Amino acid sequence: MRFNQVIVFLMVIAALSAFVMPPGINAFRKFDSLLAPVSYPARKVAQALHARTGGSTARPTPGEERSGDVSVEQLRYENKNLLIRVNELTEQNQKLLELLNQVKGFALPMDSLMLAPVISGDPGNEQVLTVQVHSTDGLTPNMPVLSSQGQLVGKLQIVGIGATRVRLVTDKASTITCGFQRYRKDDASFVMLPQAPKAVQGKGADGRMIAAAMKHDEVKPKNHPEQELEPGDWVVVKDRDLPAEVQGRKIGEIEAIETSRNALFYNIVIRPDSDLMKLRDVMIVVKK
Amino acid sequence: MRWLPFFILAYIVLGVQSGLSGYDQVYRGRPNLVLLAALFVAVHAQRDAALLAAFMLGLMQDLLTDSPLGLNAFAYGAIAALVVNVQEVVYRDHVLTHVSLGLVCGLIYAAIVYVHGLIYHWAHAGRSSWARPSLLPLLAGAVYTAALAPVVLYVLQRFRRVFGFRAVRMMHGMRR
Repeated sequence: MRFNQVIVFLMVIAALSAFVMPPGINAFRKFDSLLAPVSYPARKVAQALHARTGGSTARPTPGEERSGDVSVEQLRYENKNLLIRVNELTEQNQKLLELLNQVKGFALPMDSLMLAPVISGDPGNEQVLTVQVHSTDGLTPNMPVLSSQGQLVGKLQIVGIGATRVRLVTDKASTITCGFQRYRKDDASFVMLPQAPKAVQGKGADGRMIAAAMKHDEVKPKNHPEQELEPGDWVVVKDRDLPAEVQGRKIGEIEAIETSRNALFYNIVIRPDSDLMKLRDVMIVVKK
Repeated sequence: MRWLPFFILAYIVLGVQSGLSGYDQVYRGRPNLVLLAALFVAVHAQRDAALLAAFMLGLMQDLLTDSPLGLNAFAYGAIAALVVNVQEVVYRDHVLTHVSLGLVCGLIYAAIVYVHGLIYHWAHAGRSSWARPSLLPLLAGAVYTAALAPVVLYVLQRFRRVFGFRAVRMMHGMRR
């Protein structure tokens, strides 16, 4: 057989595999960790350059962008967030101390978080991160993954020593059901908005998400102007397919409310607090 | 062509491409360094080796992504098949050659991936967890790749001897 025929044969096989083969064949795709000796240093260099040029993974909130300045209200808002976070961490710390006292010398219980550094991302345009895990015991696909701020950033997609991938909530193939929450400035509290949970889908390379085709009455309820959705409202997880530990966790804030092609509907554009593709570490919620 | 340096190149390029993910985006487009490596090999190597090398680069990239297996292998193979035919008529060390080839190959790659996305989602509607790529990031990626082509190809040209490419005239002379 001539070489030309071999190449044509390979190309036909590749084309058949790419165009015709049914989806879901991931058995051979667990080699990401092999590239870690190159991808991890490259990522570290990129992170260092990004930090040196004044870049940050955190994004300004829609309110900050509008004003261009930090007001007392925004500082109060941030302070409230930090207080909530401190309370959460204090509670977690207390719980961990209690558990440590209980088990004395035994391994930690499974209901904990597994910290995993990000070693690389998708070579193409997909919003997928590869993380390094020291053990895959107890890890299964679709386990939720949190950022270090405790926000839901995605779900495990592939699990293995060779590759453990996280599909981010901003990926086009990611859909999570979410509700809406608002921060009240007057009494510094959070209130759950009455809108029914909606499917939030990633927008891909854009790094944002969208809750598409929301009815006019949902976005702007009649006779209840205080319940209208607004930029800055939090979007929180309300997904029955995810464990209780992540319910109510923030995935982003409403950035814009756009009218869809059909004027009766609205598209809610949601932005995570940070650029998820630039995360350095993530936490996998091991307990299911 | 020597295959060991080629595999080292493939390893480094795929590692850098994966590692920079999230940090190298401009207007939602990413440069395709693997395509530039395939282009470098296709411009310099003997026809058979160039086609096989480009195909293998694509296959290796396929193993690292969630796109349907064979998509990148097919795309790079097709691009290499076009590029090897212009080996003799282009000035391979010129910066304009690098930019134009980078742009043309980037656009061909974008077209293949986009059309594939349309067909694949039509054929596997509702069953696929892989999302169809948008056109704009692909086009932005093609332009970005073309902009980086002179730099990347210049660096690779410095190591040309390592790969043991034979001169095109010599190759054709031998074939005849």
